[in-house]
Amino acid sequence: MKKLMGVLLVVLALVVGIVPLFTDCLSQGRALTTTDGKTVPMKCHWTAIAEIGAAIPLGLVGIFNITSKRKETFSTLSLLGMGLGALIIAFPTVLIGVCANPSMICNMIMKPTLIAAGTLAIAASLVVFVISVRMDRGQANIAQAAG
Amino acid sequence: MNLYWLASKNISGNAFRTGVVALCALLVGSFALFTTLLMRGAENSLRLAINRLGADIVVVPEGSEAKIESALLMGVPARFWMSRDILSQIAAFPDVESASPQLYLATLTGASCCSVSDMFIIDYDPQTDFTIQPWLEQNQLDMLRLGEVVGGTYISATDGKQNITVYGYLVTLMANLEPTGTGLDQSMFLTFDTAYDIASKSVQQAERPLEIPTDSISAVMIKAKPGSDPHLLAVEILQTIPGVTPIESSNLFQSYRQQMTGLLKTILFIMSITWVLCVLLLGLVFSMAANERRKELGVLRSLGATRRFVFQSLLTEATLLAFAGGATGLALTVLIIILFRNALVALLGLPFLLPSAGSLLLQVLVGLFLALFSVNLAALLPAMKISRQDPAIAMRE
Amino acid sequence: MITLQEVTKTYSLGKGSSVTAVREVSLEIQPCEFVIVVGRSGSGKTTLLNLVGALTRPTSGSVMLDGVNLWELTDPQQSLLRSQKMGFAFQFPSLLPTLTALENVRLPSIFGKKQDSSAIEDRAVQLMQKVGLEDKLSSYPRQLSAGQQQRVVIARALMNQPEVLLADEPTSNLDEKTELEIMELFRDLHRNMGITMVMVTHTRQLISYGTRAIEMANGQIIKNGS
Repeated sequence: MKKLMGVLLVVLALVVGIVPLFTDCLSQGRALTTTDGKTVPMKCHWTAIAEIGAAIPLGLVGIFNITSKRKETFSTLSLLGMGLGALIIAFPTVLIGVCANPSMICNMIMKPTLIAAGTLAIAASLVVFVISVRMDRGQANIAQAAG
Repeated sequence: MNLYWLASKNISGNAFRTGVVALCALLVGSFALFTTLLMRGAENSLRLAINRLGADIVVVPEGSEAKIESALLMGVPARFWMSRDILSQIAAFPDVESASPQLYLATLTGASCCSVSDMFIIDYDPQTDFTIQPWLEQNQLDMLRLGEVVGGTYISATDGKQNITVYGYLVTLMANLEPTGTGLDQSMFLTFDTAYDIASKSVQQAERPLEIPTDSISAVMIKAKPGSDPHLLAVEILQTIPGVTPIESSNLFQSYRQQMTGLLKTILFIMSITWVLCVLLLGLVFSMAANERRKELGVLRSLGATRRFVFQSLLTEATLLAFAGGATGLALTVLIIILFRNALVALLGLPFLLPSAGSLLLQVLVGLFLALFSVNLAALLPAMKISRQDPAIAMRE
Repeated sequence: MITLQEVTKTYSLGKGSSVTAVREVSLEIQPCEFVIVVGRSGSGKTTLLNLVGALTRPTSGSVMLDGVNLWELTDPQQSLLRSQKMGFAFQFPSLLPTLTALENVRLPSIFGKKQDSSAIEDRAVQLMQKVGLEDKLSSYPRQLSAGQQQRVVIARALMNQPEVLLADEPTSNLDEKTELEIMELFRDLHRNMGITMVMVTHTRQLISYGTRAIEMANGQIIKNGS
């Protein structure tokens, strides 16, 4: 089960890192023109860039979930995973945001995808956390019975 | 130690079987919920949009029926006009209680003088209007003055705290209407006076001037006298006034209703096939499971389990799995529909409004019930067969 | 006392054919006897055991336990009687794989007399001690050897303090050393707990463990003696 959650986290990391780059307004050729004539990307683009910063560590968390065997590692990894999941949700909602118009692609596809991916990352990390707690309890019981 | 304890232990014994059953329950439950949410959401939207208009009949230029439906439902800006004289002709009908004109405009695409591109603008006459006025009164707001606007739920200020630039003209957003799930949520409402003021100043201020044909309106909203027949009134208007089409509110959005019906039929067809396949697959899985576990169940009988206990034990396992799979599927469906609502509206071309919490809960329960029913239906025959078997025969090689 | 009167069991094989596994057998088993039933494969000995344990309905004849005709009872009555008065040990590994050894031993308590859960737990642990597996309480069947599994099966069979223990070739899958250990365990239980035992085996050498031996062939008892 831990390995399965690890694989899921890697997949989610790929989604979080890649999907926004193709679903922000800049990828559709839309940008803001400032008063002095410069073209700058809208804030959804900066959200997409920031999400790469969350996706990479999430991918590593997933890989360590697959390869690791130590119980202590899993507890740490799962807490990290939950934190990263929360960050992934926070970027497009409260920290940076996306465009206001609901018919723009960043609102229709990018933001909901990130919220869904962040939620699933939190859920998967929670599962790993629960498993690591049970592992701990199981080992304590065996130690007690042997003692 | 009891039936539930034993059932939950047995579930953990075979990951593949557990996964298949839970997945089928997930599919059945989420498909059912998706369908009901979509259809009821679309229906609610249409109903709200019609109520929002407040009109019994909407009169538009002949051939513009599809354009007004797209405009009101999907926020696709409409550009059609007819002579203002038609208003006085309509008002003269004895069964007309009130007739109010509307003018439809749109902001420019990608122009710096319009801070929101392609926005549908509805101009109304505050003296005769019965669409926006009642809402303003209900919300203790004064009649809109020159330069003031009211927006649909998605309209927000883009310039400063309360302003929006339209053709280089700064309008003040006074309030936002409640959501309808339709294009009205992305539309702006302002008075005729403001519209003409914007048009006259746009010559200097905008990239392209706003052109309003002289003495023209786009539509007339009609409220019929209480007790009169709107259908007869509509027929009279059609026969008397050339070049216009009166649309009764009950027939409004007819093409969308047909689209919805078509979509519903398609989804129901797919859902039926999915359901049958799921139940057959589940039946097969439960049959295989019962066969695989017949020795184990024979041993339970030898320990004192009654036939009824064995039967209930198998159905309890099925129910637990159906509940877990169904609940997961339903939660995922609700999450997806809430998050991807805008994308769904754009994809299906239908308006959609999320239901109230109570209505949503009811629909979730229906989906869960369907998942539970389907899984238990599939498990019924194998459970009956194995529980009736002689324990000795069950335990034979 | 267990009484079989003119009991016949015929199995239908489909397409009109059938096989008679037990043919008009009459038998009495007294309390506290240790009866060993021997015979070749297909002699009907397993079917005889199943008839005694009410695990299969006789085609004709009656099966009585302490004067009660087992097949005049309803299914709930019969199941209750089975849980309270009988214990079973089968040839095949009959522990539930998803339960630990201790949980398997406790399992009959679901169907027996209502008891305090701590009393159930204590009795199960005692039985595991009796069969020499007090250090395997949390082990799953897959973690136990065949001999250890059979010991757990015996502990489970004794959980509800049965009057009768029915064992169908309980040692056929075991090596000789383990077989003798299990047989010693049966003998001890019979002597110390006064349980009536009926054991089916194809190993004639095990006859000496019982108080009476019955030989079967072609569905009939051909020898019945001490």
